[in-house]
Amino acid sequence: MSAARMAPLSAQEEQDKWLADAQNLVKQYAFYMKRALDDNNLREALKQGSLMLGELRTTALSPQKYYELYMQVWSELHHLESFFADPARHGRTNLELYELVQHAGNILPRLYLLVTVGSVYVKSGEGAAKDVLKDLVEMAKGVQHPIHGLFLRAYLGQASKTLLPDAGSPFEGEGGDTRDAVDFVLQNFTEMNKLWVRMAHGGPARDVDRREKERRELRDLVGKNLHVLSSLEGLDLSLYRDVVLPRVLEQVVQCKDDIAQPYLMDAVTQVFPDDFHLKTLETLLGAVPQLKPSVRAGDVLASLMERLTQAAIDAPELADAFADADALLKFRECVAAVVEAQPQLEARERLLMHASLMSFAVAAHKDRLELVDGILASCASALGAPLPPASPRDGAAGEAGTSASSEPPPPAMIVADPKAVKQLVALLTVPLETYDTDDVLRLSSYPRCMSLLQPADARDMAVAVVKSVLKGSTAVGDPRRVETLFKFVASLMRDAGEEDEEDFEEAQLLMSRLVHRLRSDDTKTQLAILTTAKAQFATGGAKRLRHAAPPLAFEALRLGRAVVAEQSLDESSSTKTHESELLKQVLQFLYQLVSNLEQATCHDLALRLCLESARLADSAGAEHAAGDLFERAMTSYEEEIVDSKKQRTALSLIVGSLRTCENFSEETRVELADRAVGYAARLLKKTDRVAALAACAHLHWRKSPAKTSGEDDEGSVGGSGDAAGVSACLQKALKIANASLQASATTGAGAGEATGLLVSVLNSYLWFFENGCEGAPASAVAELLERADAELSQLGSQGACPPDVRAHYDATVRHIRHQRGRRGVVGARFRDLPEA
Amino acid sequence: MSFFGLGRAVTVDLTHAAGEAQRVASVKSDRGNLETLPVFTDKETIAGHVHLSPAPGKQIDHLGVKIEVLGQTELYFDRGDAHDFVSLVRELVNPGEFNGPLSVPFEFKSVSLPHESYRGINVRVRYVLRVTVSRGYGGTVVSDFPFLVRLVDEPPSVNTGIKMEVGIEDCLHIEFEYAKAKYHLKDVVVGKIFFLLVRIKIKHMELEIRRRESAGGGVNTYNESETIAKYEVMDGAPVRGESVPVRLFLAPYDLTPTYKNVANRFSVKYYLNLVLVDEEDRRYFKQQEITVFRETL
Repeated sequence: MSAARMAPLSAQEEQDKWLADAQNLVKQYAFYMKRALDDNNLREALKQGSLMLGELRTTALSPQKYYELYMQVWSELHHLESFFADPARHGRTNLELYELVQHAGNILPRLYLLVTVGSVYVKSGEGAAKDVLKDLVEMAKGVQHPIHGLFLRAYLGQASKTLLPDAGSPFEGEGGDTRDAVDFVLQNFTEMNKLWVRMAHGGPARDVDRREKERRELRDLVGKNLHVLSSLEGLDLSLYRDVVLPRVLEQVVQCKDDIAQPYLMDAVTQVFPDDFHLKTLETLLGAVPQLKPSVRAGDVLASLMERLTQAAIDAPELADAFADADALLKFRECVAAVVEAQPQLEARERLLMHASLMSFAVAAHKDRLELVDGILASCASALGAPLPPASPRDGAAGEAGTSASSEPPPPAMIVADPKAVKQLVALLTVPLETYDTDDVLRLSSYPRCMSLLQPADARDMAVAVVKSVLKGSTAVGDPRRVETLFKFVASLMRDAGEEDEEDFEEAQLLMSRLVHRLRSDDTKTQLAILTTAKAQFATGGAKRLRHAAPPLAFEALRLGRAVVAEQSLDESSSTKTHESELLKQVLQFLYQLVSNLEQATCHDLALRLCLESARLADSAGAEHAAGDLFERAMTSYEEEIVDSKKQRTALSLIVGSLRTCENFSEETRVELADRAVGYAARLLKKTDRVAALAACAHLHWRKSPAKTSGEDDEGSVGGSGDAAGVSACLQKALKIANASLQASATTGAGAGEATGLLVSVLNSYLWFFENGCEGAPASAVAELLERADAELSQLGSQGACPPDVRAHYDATVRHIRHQRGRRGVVGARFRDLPEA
Repeated sequence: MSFFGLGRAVTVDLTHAAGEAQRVASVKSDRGNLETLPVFTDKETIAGHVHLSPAPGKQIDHLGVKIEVLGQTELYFDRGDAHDFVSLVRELVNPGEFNGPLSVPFEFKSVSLPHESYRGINVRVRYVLRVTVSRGYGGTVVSDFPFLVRLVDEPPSVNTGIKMEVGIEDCLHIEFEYAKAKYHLKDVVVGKIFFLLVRIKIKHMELEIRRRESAGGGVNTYNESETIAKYEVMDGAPVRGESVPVRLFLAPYDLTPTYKNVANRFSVKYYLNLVLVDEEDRRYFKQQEITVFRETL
């Protein structure tokens, strides 16, 4: 043995060699032992057996190699055991044998033999199980060498497994009762754990890692005892509660070991049944804060909660039991105690515990939202998240603000560790997946928890929230709730940290979609909701408002229309003034939105919104407001729209909007129309100008609504308006076309385009002519037709006629021909035209 | 029982009155092999027959046949100094002659046998029945028939345990207790060792039984210690707070009772020696005297 001790322990080959040597010797001694057994020579068999067992006294082998050796010896011990079991072969009583083997001079072989005889002694019924087992477990204390002791006691545990005086076992009664069985196993467990823990100590510090690895390999030897305990038939709740659990926990707490504590806590959790845990939760949890600070109490707790969560999911009928046991409260207290007791606890673990709490709460008490909120609150507090500046207005969960805020709070732990982030995200995702939007928004501590995330992570989380709201079935219909919602997604509303442009756009797009989920049937509430939302978006600055404005505007317009609809339904009622007030507010809201957009230099958007708002105002008969809005749109057009293409589009929008307005006084209408004409005339491109002027012409003319359009195939035949105005516009357009033709004659280029203009003008004329507007007399149409024909033939002869112009003209002619064939006024009108 | 040369004129044999029922015990002989001898105790009657067989066809003339009971102490270092503390004689046959086998009864009533038979390192106590056939011309035949004496001791009226705290300051501090201080020969030493402080790397611990024999007196006192038993009671290093049980069966060891000043010549004492061995093979020990007594023959 001393030679073994001197050899360096590390080298793998050396280990192999030691093991091979020892195994050879074991084989040899076992051979002689078996020969002696064949001769029924007890003394010789014991001698050889002792020698064989003596090989287990080595201190040279690593636990793994020692295990191999142990297994070899173990299988040989069976021969000895069956020999002991047959009194005819050795002629001794079991008691005599029991004494005889104790004459062995070396303790380790002696105890292996004693255990072997002891099990025979109990099996034969000669020895009372409790006495023999107690003696064995007591005598085993002589082996203090950790590995020797662990394996010896493992052998004892193995040998005694079927001999325990458990309820229903043949050894019950004389041999004791379950209590004795429990005491025995507990004692063996305690001693094994102590030995196991002791392996960590002694030896050079550089070997710490190796020792830890070796210890982990051996942990199931210790844990096995807990399995045995849990499988005792006679183990009932009271025995577990009063004896097993306290003693196991005492050992767990006392051993103060980094590896043993979490392993054993986990083993206890896994091995014993759920209802035991439920009934003893307080005791079990009481041990958690007493674990070493370096032990991950969070993991331990989380594992326990996971186990019970799973139980709650698997058996929903257990929910009552959970409630009776006040399980959640106890967990929460325990978590709080751990947080309190271990200031150095990592964020990851704090979060893990709360995430488990959350899962448990949702699994066991799904209907109790306040519990979920409470967990969020304590999670936030556990990580030092600052309290919201004002006391929470949302009354759903008062718990959020309970922690004392008199002293300056420690700085919040910002969760940066990816694992911790994952935990926090998981924690925050649980409510989203479980509850619908309305309930989630009642979790007032939710934003506090989110504030623990780094900006980028917080944004991701906020996106998840938004997506969940979008996915949800219920709309958010309360301004206060809207405000809360914005707290949830606050991180999307401010700039912090680096942000990818694409992500930003995507997030804002989601936020815009979110606007459509903010909806109440009550118009007044809806206005409040929109106002709130806008204010919130405004805090995000122009670049966010730009995205949010269109949906906000659409919602406002929709609201406005709804108001108008209500108004017209309710014409006579006294609420009219009130409704108008509401409408005024809607318009104001829109107006503000326009201003905001202008500030954000989104002039296109502002202009469009302005026009839409104007139409709304007009439809509500608010002429001044409508006029004002048009004016504003035009101002904006003049001042801000400089690009010609945009100008063309904007102008056509203005004209289009203006045309649909019905409630302007003549004066205003003319004024606005004139301005539009003025803009049209100043457009850069001739085609644009012509088109715009033609459109402007419509401002002066309103087609009379088709009274009997269903059966009257003559279609619309008339209208009313300012023929002079129409004429003026059309002539201006014609003038441009003419000028263009002249120019092409001079320059020799652009004739095709000029002819195109002419055809366009012809069509405009034709439209008014068709609708009976005096501003477009037959003569003018006829002249234009003639000219167009002439120009086209000329171009045709040169082979330079653009096909689109030609087609346009042909279509026009076909139309005229067709109209000519019609009956009624229109047909008559067309027959005035010369045949093409 | 005894072997005589062929040259002997007469073969002497001895049988005990109890015959098969005679108590016997096995001990190691001078030559080292086991021999089985009759056992007597104090105030017992030693009786039986002496069988004299002359060589076939020979007539024996003799000057008388006697039998003696001798009890002697012998100090090996002083061979000549055998001291007879028991010496009884019976005349068996008056001078005369015989030519066939002759059986003669003998009896010593209530012999005082004050000391136990003992074979030590420097001293022994031995008993013999000596038959002497006296003849002239140097033909006297002397035959010794050794026997053993064992004395049952009074069981001790007081037998308190041994409890003791020992240690080396700041290094090792243990407390041990044995349930008894006095043990009979087939007894079990039961005890417990508590480790109160352990700062040395203990490799193992063993319990030794040591016998200390002191013979002679004055300047000629010879003390000899020998380790009768070595019994490992602990493997590995304990930590403070551990306790280790001790259970040592005395039966397998060749113990005698404790002897105090036997015939003013020698004493034999027994000690339990608790030895701790550390990883550098240093030994730390504490010795405690125990009394060993004979409970039954």
